[in-house]
Amino acid sequence: MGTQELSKNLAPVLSNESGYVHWSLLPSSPTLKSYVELLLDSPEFFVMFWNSVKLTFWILIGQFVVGVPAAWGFARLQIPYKKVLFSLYVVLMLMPFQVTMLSNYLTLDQLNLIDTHYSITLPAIFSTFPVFIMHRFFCSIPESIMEAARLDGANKFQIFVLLGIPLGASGIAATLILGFLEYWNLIEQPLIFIKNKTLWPLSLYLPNISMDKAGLAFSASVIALIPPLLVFLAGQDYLEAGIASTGLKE
Amino acid sequence: MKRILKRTIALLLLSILIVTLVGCKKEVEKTNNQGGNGAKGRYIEEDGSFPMDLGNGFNIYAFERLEDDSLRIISSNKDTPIEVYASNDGGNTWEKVSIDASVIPEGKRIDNAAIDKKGNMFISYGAPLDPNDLSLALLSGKILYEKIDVDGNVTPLEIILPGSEESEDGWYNTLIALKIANNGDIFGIDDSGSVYQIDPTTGKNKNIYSSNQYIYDYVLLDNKLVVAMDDGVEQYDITTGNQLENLEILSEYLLSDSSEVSLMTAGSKENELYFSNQKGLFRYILGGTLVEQMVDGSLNSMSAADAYMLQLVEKPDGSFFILYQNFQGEFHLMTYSYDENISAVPDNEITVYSLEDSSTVRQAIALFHKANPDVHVIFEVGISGDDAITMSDALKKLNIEIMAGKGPDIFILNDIRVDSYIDKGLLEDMSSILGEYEEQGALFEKITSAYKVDGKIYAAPIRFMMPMINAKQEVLNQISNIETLTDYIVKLKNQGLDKGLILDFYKTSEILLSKLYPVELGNCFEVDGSVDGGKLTNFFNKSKEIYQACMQFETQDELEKHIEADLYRFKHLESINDRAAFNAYQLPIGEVQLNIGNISSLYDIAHLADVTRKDDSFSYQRLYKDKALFIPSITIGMSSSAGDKETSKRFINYLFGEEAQSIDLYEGLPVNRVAFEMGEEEKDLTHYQGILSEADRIIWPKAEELHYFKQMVEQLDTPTFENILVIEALLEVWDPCLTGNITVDEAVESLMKKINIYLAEQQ
Amino acid sequence: MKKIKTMERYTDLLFILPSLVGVSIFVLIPFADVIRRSFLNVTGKSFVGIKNYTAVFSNRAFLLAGENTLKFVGICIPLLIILSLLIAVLLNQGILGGHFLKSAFLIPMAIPVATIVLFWRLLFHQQGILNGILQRLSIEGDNWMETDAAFVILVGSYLWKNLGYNIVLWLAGLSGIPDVLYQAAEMDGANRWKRFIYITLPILKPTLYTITTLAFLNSFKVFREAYLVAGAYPHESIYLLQHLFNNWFRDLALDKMSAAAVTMVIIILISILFLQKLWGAEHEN
Repeated sequence: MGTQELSKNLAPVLSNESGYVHWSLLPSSPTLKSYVELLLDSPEFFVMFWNSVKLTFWILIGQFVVGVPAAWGFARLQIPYKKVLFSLYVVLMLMPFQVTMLSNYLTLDQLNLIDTHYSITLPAIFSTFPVFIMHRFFCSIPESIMEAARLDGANKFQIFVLLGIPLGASGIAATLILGFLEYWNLIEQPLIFIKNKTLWPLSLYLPNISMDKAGLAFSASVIALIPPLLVFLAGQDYLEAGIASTGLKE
Repeated sequence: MKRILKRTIALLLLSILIVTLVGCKKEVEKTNNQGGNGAKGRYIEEDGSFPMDLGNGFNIYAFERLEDDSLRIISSNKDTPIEVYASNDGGNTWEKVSIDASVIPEGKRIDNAAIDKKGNMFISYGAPLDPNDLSLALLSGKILYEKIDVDGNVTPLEIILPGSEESEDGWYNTLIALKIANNGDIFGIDDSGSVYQIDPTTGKNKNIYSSNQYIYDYVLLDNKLVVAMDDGVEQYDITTGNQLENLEILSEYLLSDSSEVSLMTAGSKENELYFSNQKGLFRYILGGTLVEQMVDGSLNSMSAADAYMLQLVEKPDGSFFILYQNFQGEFHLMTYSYDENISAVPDNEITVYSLEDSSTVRQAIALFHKANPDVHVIFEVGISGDDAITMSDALKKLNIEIMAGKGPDIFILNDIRVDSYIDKGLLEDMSSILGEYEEQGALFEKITSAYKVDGKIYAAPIRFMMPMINAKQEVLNQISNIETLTDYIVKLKNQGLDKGLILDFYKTSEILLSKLYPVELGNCFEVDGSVDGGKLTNFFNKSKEIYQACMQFETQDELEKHIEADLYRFKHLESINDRAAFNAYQLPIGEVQLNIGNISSLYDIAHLADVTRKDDSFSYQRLYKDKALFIPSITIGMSSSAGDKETSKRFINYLFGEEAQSIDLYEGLPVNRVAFEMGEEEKDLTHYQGILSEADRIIWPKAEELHYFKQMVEQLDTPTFENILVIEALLEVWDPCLTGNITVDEAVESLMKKINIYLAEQQ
Repeated sequence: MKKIKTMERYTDLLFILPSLVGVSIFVLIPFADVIRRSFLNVTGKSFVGIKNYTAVFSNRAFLLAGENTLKFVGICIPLLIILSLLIAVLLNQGILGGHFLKSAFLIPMAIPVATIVLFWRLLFHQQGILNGILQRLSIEGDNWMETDAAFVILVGSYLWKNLGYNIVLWLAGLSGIPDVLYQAAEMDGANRWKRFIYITLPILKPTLYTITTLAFLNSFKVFREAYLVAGAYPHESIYLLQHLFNNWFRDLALDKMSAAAVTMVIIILISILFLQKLWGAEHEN
């Protein structure tokens, strides 16, 4: 859809013209101009896209390294005050970001992390959500399998690495996909913690949609939609299997 | 099987997407030759005004450095059609180069000029639009070209462009931005935005370099032509006319910085070019991977809002000249020379924060830097408009930084809740800074102390606007509040108009709001801050009556013209106060019956005075004469936790001083009485106004006219209600209500609910 | 013997230690700071006791936002749970079917907020698509986001986004029920409805805990859409606690915000403990 056509169709909402928004499913004059403009002529778009990729990648790696053992610990091991700790994790998971925004900033500032990508990745890596989700998967692995392994002389770490991770693989994958969908769309955190615009992720790119930029905004939102959609399609089976195993009880 | 296929395809697409996007990304190296803390040496700006008298109303057409390192300019003034000056000592002294004034035929006027490395000149000239007035810049008819060699021999050259020979509307195509290449070929840009390469002997086009984009500037480096355009920089070989590979590094550098090129010039080394813009002065070698910043524009005039760059010249000693022209058409020459003893970055740094950009503040900072090279004032704008940051986001971010002790030193408090900041002890008392001026009686004190609490001034306007009405005197006598205003407009509507409009808007209801809210909104709130629903309903009812009365009569073609003007104002003037800009001249020509709007500049006063002087049946007064309201268009406050209080105070002191207060960029009138009175000096507004004939010429207001206006200003003591959240909520229901999509009661109800939630939050 | 047990507990602790340390630094300490601030004045310099709490509880905006949030959570979560269970049962029994349908329910999860917001605006604006269609049917439209319909739209958007996820959760629970149980019940003459009530539901009870907690979590995320579409002061029916937090933050009323946040967390904690008691049996193993 060309900018002209798009602007015309969206005009009633974006400016004060009369009439209603028309939505033709197929644009009557298909053009890739906005997409070309976005991809070739807006260097900031690349920078931000790349930032999004980097941020999401490191967050997911971190969640895997930190979250999986923790989830395993909560699910299968004997940890003092486990129940209390886990309830604490659940409550912390439910807390809205605005509430701790200032205190988070102050903590990050103490650690000299403000205005770096770490201010986004580190708090995200230690989010309690993946622990909560993966914990369910690990709970659903039958105790008998582990008992057998223990009898064969495997220690805890071997059981975790050789049994836990493979058996919980689909659950782990599902959690990471959920994580991707979440962190690809981060808005508040980078806005508050990062001042340097060259470090911003794509989710902050979408300009305020105004008449002259309608085409650009539209293509930007379509391009932003593609990666999560592709990740979703690629991982849908894991997701289903993974989500499913949360519901399974022994 | 199908699923695996789907998954594989999705994965494949994903990786392709990432690889292409990442592959497209190029690293652009940026450097800044100004080192970190403790490093010494940077370029310093100094006033480099021409030492010679260039005459009354002079203009400068060309400024070049020749191959023998001498400098040369071509100028003209009211009395002489062309003058040439040369300097052999890098611009300290200049001598007039004798030139026969008759190179410009009698009755013609120079339009553009170029000088080559040897001193040969090429000029264009034409007949002034008004033959009696050679000083007017506009030309009419065909433009002629001629070469003048170093010995003074004149050879006319006929250059034919599309549309340069005949014209129906009096507009002839011409070449501007003339330049001469080393091989003698002449270059220029025509009206369609193409660069022409002209054979100097025949006048024929050798090559035309077309682009559909706006060209900022171009430069000739030996056999290369480099053109800076809207979306990048291109280079061509002028011997063949072929395009060479794109200068991607440079293009991306400019795009990533979202900066434009104002000027380019060739350096002394091969393939070396310099370019300048608001961000500074840069050096680039064609094909290189490095764009080097020589001068940081934020520290000097380059970043000033009121400085249009005309010429950039590298001096033989490696320093630079930049010739600027300001809003009023005055020329300023600045030099930038490297001072190795001064610290690379200024020792003192303070930050000024504003939610919205302000050219006045930028201009003041630039002027302050010039006088205080030891200080760097950083101007931080919360809402830049080119990203998704909303006002609420910007404020949250600001609050967090304040709480973390990283806040700015000085606030522009517009749209920030002053009372809340005062309550929380975030603002510093400025009365000692203002006291100095007050003792001299230099300020309009009623305005600057409008926010005084218990003898302390935590916030003070540095600029203000004034809601004004301008009409026939007998009309003004009838209007004093919204009831009488509405009655008069409805009466006019019932009588019917021969032409024009009642008020200067057609359809966009928001323009009406911007005219009325300053005088009405404050009225709708009780002293304790609660909303008076009855008054709010009345405001909506009357506004709706006015809106509908103004909508009634329109011929089709006028209608279209006005819609366009409306839309322009709506789209391009984002601030609500700008939309109420005042245009006095619509009244005498009958375009409108009533002029209502905000006076925001001394020029507005000049126009008002001009209109009433030419026809004394017109007059003007405060929109509601018994209310002494002003709009605090720029309000300033100092942070109580400012890191460098001394420097912050110095800057605030400067902002209230004459120099900063004399800036006039339509963001409000000065609060400094002296700056206001300086307007009494006569100014020639012709150049600035682009007026076409003697009869319509505007003169600066006479002393008594300015005095009359000042009397009105002296009475102003009440700031208008400026709560942006309320105004935003109001805007949401305003148009639906006035155009009849929702009833007044619905609009008021919905608005009251929101305001009440807002007020409840403050409990 | 006891000693070995303690040793074991310490090595077990190693698994959660990195997470625990990180969570403490990036989540717990900031939260403790919020609790501290709730007893201090705005600048955080003087102790004011429970003044902030009394101010919050008498604040009309807080009461309105609290009521709306409770209403939203109270309507959304049961609705989501019942609707998703219903669809899951239909899918499970093959009444509705197909991989395609499941994908259709799941895809909304993947759509970025920005895109959703764009479509919301286009759909529900005064001159949006919905009103365009209504006008063709000669029904008068409205500026939907400014009427009580805003609440319904918000609930709808929440259901649309989370339905798929919950359906899959239920499906998993359902597929875990052995057919033998149903067959036995059928022999005893229980009809479909009775079998659902007496067999299906009790077995699904533990699943309910996870579903409810996640539904709770996701109900807070709806704020993002509401805020981006309708701004800081939306129609009063969708003025949620997060709007209030957001506005308090904007106005630097950090004292009230902290007190309100702590109150909210206490309510969440009680709900969670209640859920655990009711359906939990979370850590039997």
